[in-house]
Formats: sequence, C-alpha cells, structure tokens
Amino acid sequence: MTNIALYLATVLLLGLSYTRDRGKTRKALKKALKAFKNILPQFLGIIVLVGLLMAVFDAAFISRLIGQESGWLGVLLSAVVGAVTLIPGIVAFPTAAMLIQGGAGYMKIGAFVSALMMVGVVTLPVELEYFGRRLSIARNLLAFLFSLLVAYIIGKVCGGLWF
Amino acid sequence: MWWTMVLIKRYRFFLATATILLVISLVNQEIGSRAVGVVGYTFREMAMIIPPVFILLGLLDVWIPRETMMRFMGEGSGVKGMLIAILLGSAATGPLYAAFPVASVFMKKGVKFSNVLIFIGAWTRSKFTQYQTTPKLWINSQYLRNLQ
Repeated sequence: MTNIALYLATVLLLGLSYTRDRGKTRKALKKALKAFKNILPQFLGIIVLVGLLMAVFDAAFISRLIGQESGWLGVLLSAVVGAVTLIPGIVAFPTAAMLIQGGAGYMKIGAFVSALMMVGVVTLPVELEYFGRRLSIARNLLAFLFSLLVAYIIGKVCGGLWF
Repeated sequence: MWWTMVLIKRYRFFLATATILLVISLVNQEIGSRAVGVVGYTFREMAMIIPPVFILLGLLDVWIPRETMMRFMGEGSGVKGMLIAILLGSAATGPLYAAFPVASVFMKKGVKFSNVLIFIGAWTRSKFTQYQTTPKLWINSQYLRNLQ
C-alpha cells in the first residue's frame, strides 16, 4: 500500500521534473545514484548482520527472553533486546500482540517496541556515516532512556489505572 | 592492484559479516539457512524502499533551493517548522535506516538541527500509516516463516 504510494509519487514527480527540465532531472538522478553508491557497502553489511541476528533472535527466542525476567530487570532486558534487534514495524506490532497474548507485561512490550523502533545498534554503521560519532551515540542513548520512560508510562496507563 | 584494495576497504564490514555467515552456515546449517532467509527478506525490503527514497531526495536536492527549506524548517521557522518536521516524519514509512539519508539532505539544506531531530523522532515513533496493518498480514506471515 504505502510502497505503491511512494512509487506513484516518485514516478509522478520524476515525470514532472523531466518535462520541466531534463538537465536538472538528470542531475537529480546522478545525485541519487551517487548517494546510493556511497552507502551501499554499509547497507549490505547491515543486511547480513540483521540476518545473523534474526536467525538467533527469532520470535520464540525473543518471547522466552522477555518472558523470563519480571520487574524492572525484565523491562531493561526487553529494551536491550529491542535495541539490538531490527524488525520492520509492520512485523513488530503483530509480534508485540503475540507477546501480550503470551502473557508478557505491558511495560515490557512498551520497552521492547520503543527500543526496537528508536534505538538502532545494528544500523549504527549507517548512522555514523551520516551523523558522526557524537550525535549517533547521543541519539541512541537518549532513545534507549526514553524507551524506559515510555515503558513506565505505558505500565501505568495499561496496568490497572484505567483498565 | 590499488582499486581492489579500495573496494576491499569499502566493503570490509560486509565482507566480515558475510564471512561470519559462511562460518556459521558450515557449523550449523539450520541457523545458516534461517539467516539466509532473513537476508533475502531484508534485501527485498531495502530494494523496494531505497530507490524511490534516493530519487526523491535527488529531486529535492535539485529543485528545492536552500532558502526555501530554510524558510520552512530553518532557524526562526518556529512552531511551523516543528509541525512540518513531525508531519513529514510521521507520513514517511520505512525503517529507521531510510530516515538517515533524508535527514542528512535536510541538514545540508539548512534545516534547523532540532527540526532534523524532531523529524527522526517522528519517523521512529509515530507511524500513522502503519495502523492499518491487516492488508499487510501476508508480509508478516512471510517474515515469520523466514524466522521460524
């Protein structure tokens, strides 16, 4: 769905650009290609790294890890697991639903999904390329801390305050 | 030859991970084949998202002048700039790694630094295009099949 929209917008804008100014369009495509070539090595490395991680951290392993510890240690562990794994959002949300059905607490799920989406240990090589060391590390650290805050709030909201 | 050295240096991270994958596959075939399955899935996902994103960025780079970007999202753009950053970040789909090239073009174009960070935050956090997940369930099942 969203991919179709993305492609439609790209084709439309590219066509518009081409009818307005061929030279500029060619320049834009050249820039796109150059940017792509620059980042390709990092992307390829990350793809394989994700494959390796996911082969070990499969859904069953994740739920076992998250399910084991309770309390704050469990929440921390969930956030760490979320930080080192890389699962697309459209898969992450149903996985989280599965974990909740499996009896994992809301706090842990909050920590897991938040860290999963915001913290990218695996994608750090790409991030370093664009943002530099200082900013990348600061962003990931803050995102990790924020995930714990989110877990706390979600635990309060879902954990019997309103339900 | 010097260019092979350059290539090896550029791809050293990829070569290292590929070697690990090879070794693991030799030791444990089950984990190895599962890893290869996920690599295939992730590669397809990236191959779908990356070309349009980079083409759109190229177009943005060429057509939208720095001054325009600065007026809308630069220093002094205030609440308007923040709102645009939130909207752009939320409307975009795709994994975190697709946000980095966009953010770097924004920085080059004079977008205020805090707005770049707001954009990344919105990208990773609010996904209003992903709340309707039902039609995508087949992707999930496909992905889970690769994982299992």
